[in-house]
Amino acid sequence: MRSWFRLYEDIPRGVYLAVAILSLLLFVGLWSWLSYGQVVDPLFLPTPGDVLGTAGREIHDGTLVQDVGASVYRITAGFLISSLFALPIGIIMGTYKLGESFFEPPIDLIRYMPAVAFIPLAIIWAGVGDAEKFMILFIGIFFQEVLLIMDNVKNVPRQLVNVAYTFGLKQWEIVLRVVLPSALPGIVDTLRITMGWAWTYLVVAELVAAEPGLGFRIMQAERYFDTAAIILGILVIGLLGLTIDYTFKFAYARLFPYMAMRTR
Amino acid sequence: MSDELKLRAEHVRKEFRQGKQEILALADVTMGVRANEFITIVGTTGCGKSTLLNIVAGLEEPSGGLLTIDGKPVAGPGLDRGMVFQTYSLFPWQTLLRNVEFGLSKKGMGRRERREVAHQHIDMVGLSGFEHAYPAQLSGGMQQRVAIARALAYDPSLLLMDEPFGALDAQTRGLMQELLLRIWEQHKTTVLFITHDVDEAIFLADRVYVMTARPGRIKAEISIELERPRPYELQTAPEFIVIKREVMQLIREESLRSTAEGEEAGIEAGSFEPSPRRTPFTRVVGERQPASAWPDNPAEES
Repeated sequence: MRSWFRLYEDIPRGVYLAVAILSLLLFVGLWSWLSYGQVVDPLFLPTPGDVLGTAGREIHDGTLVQDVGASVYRITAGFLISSLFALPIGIIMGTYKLGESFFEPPIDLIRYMPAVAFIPLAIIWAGVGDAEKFMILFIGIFFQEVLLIMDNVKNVPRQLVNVAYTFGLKQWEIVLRVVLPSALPGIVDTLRITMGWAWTYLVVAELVAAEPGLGFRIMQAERYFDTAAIILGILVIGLLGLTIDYTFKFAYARLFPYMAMRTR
Repeated sequence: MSDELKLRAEHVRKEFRQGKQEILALADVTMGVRANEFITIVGTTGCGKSTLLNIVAGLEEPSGGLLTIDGKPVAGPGLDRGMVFQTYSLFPWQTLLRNVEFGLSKKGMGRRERREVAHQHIDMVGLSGFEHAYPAQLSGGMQQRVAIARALAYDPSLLLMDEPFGALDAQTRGLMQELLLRIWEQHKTTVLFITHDVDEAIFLADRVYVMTARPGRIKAEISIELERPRPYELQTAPEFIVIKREVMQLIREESLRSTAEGEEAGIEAGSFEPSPRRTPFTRVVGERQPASAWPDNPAEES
């Protein structure tokens, strides 16, 4: 018992799970107390029951499934397009100083510009269809993603590259057979983090003409003071994000079993 | 030295640019390695011995001088040389077997042959049964054995070793030295071995080169006329101690010189006496007159 409160000390798995569930229950409990107890006006904070009811209705009439489908499609597409560019460019930036000096100035410049501010431009350039949504997601995530991948590649131990040189490998062979596999665990982590950002940019991307779509549904609900629908949308986005995050973590453990082995 | 040298280095020098400073790492290294010889190079930390090895490996280019292997100038890395680094040189994402196979890809071997050669060399370093383990599951000594197996698997004619046992504990290091000698005696390959451990340098070598402090040059060359095979107890034998004293004295001179140059040690540069006695097998570069006429690098200053 006492050791549970010691720095960095491990705790039994059961205790870990129990505390995690307790933490969630506390959250729901607080919410229930505030809403059912009428501490907060129901107009501002719906009860958990209200949100569940809305969920039932949206599942029944099919909007929820449609919204989720449309949003997942947009996010996946935006994420894939962004990663398709970020991977090769990040690898070039990480391996060749010339690449870094060429790509980094514009990337650094753009990555501090707010993605939201690009919406008018994106509409003029790409209309109000899905292309515009992809563009906003791209602007929101690419410029961070590419820098993280550059760092992943830079962190490849120089020693391993030297080993490959002594075995007579050419530069492109070293990139394929040493740099990539060595950087891959880091890159998969970067993709996981990037996917998280994609979800946070979803509402921004779906600000205009995004029927159906989770972000759009949330904006729409605001007009009718339908706070239950807003909270439902937010919860669904959170759950989807969490699911994808865990999928990445699971894949990571499967793909890179050696990363969990402690060096003796 | 005769012309049948495996490796010949003549007046090799190396300068680095660090910010605005030019640093002279190697001043003028002239040395040679004969075929099937086991050569060690000892020197103080930062004397440029690793730089020298990297140049021989083709990983760095010399700023001047000539370097030949089998009479041909060195131009980049090549399959005639194998290298064993100090630590963490195995690919963590590959099993032990894959690591050893890695170097064979450029040899034009088929899949089956690669596997066979890899198994053979894993067996040679006594790691049969660990083929499917990842490097992270092995101890430091085992990892270095894999690195040796990997380097020897593609059968290089010159094996370069950069303090390969430097990060191991003393007991493991001793065992690794014996293992290496046994492999070398069986394989009869040529070895150039860098270390800062005097015992290790003497125990392993046919000849020991002692390097000066930075800028590095060859300070002395000592033939080790100890019988082979060498049992581990040899390291406490009187004839071993005589050589050890000699080498330690030579290195101490350099340590004192380099720290005195840094003006940190509080030991004056002139306060040491050059070694008064030499074993007959020691040849100190540039030393002809009495030992007091020690050359004080008139040409180079950093």
